[in-house]
Amino acid sequence: MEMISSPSMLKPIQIKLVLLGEAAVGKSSLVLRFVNNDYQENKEPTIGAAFLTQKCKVQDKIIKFEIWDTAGQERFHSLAPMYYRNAQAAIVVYDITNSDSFDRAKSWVKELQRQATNEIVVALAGNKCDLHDSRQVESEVASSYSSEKGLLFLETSAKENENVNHLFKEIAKKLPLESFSKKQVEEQTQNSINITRRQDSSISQCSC
Amino acid sequence: MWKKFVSQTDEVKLFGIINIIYRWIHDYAYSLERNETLVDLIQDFVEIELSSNKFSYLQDLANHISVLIKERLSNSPKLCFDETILVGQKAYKELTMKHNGEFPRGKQRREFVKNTRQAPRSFNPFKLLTSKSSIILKPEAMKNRKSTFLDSLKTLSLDDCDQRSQDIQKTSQIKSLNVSFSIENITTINPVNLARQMTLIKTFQCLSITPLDFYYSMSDTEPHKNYFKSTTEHSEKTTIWIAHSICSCPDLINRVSLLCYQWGNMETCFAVVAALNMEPVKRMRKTWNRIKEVFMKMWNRINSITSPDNNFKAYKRYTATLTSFIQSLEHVYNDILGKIENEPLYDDNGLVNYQTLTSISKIIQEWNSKKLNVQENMHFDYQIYEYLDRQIDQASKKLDLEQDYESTLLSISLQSEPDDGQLEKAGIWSVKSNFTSNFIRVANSIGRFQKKSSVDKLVVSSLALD
Repeated sequence: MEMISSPSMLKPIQIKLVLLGEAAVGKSSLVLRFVNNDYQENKEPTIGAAFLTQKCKVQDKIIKFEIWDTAGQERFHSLAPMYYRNAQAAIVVYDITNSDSFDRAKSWVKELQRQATNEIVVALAGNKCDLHDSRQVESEVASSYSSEKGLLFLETSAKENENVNHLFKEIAKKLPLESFSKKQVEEQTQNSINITRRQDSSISQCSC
Repeated sequence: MWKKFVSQTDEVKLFGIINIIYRWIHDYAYSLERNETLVDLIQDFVEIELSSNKFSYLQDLANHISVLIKERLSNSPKLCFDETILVGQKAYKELTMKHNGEFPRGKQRREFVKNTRQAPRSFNPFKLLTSKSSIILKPEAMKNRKSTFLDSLKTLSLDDCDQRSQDIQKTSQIKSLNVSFSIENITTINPVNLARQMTLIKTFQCLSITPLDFYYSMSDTEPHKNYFKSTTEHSEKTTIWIAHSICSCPDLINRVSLLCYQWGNMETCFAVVAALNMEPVKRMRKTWNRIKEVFMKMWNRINSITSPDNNFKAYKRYTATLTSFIQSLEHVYNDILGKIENEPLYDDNGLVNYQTLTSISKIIQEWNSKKLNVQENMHFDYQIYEYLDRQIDQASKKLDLEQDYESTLLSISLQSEPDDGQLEKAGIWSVKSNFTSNFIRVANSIGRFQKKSSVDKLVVSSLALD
């Protein structure tokens, strides 16, 4: 997957992606590792520090990931649906050295499958895979759970930069980009028609 | 010679200690608010140890610190407003009556604080039930009475309060007399009044939050009562209660959310929006269809303003026009966490990263500078407060926040509005009602706002329809 750092002529397909998981499993580290150099652009003094973007090229298309890092959702659980509503992709992160975090990840998957859109692509990421010695969640267990629930599954290490880009690439591959692209074009066209109509009506009002 | 040396060393040490205490009280007086034991220890040290030493200038400094503590504590604009105060108020009165009108010191006071989880000062009904502006007037009255630190703990007489607080104080006595309240159902409360009380409660709660609360909410050790935590918990509970209320009784909340938003109470507004967007509530199509178009327009507007799309562009644009409002605490918290995650507080060598600290302090300062004050036209209604308190507490007990409360809510929702065959076929969680499509359209059109005046007109028309 090729990262895009300079402006491109191609119109990017916007993908809303949300990160979920228990506290301290490494959600933020994962996303920061993915966006790395582009982080400077996202610095804002006001609200929105949990929002990051990263453009990347998959096949012949440019995808703009709009990533919501829901770091504070442990405290604000009831507001979480606000973030995953209308999301096209979600990464549920757990810590391979903490079995409780895997249980929590399961409940997030359950919630997403109940409440998010049907087309959402959910990936399960077992983070901190560099800490083999402290492993509490076996890879096979998580893998079979993912197969059962139809999730993408990868073990990652944000620290060692292992499988991080690969995870996002796999998500991008699984997304129905064609339909998203068409949908976004349709919406833009519809919006431009609406604007034209408004302008027309304002002109007619003026001429009256 | 040796004695002289020891004496001079002691003098320097004492001066250093006094200087530290002075700086601390001067700059971080709010931390004293939370720790009665600490206040006691400082008071004892300053009054007993320092006042009796032989250096007159140190004595003067000690007296100055003593005065400063009194001033800071009595000047404090922070209000503590939660259920523990109301429980403690009665206990406080009883205890002061036992001790000839004076609140006891030492062990008895510490026990009282431990049992009620509140500083006794907070039980002062004047502090509890009046607006911030009234409290600013209070220190003058205190000075005239030549009050001591202990005096400031006493309940003020009615003469010190304005007419409004007298009324409220009278109302508050109803609770101790166990007079039953007339509010039976949420629909019997005027939506304007309900929204007003919710805004007042949130205002009081937010005024109690100090910068330290943000810090402690992120650390594992929370040494004192954390007002940030209690305020956010209250918002979560409110969401559950609202969802529960809608599932078990008809509309109304819609207008409340609009009014909260109009008064700049974004924290409650987010709680309401979250409740209305819960799947058990959203699925009640028949209920939603019965709502008048004018309210649906308002709802769409609120929903678009609280939408996280484009990094809360609509929310940012709207709040930029406000001079003061209750900012969504979730945003503040996420921003702080985001800063820490991106730029850790400590570097690899364990040194403090001042850039991160500056960024965090800017976020807190901005939040602090825009905090909403109690508005002139807002009067505290104890009945509604008591009702809300009871209802929110009951709903959160029924629907345990830690458990899968949505399943319970769904069963209530299904009882209230049974599912039709079509919905059963499609599966309850995958239903996309017309309402949902409205959300999507609204989300696509964010950024295109009506002028505020036209929103005000909508509000007026909604009130007229009420």
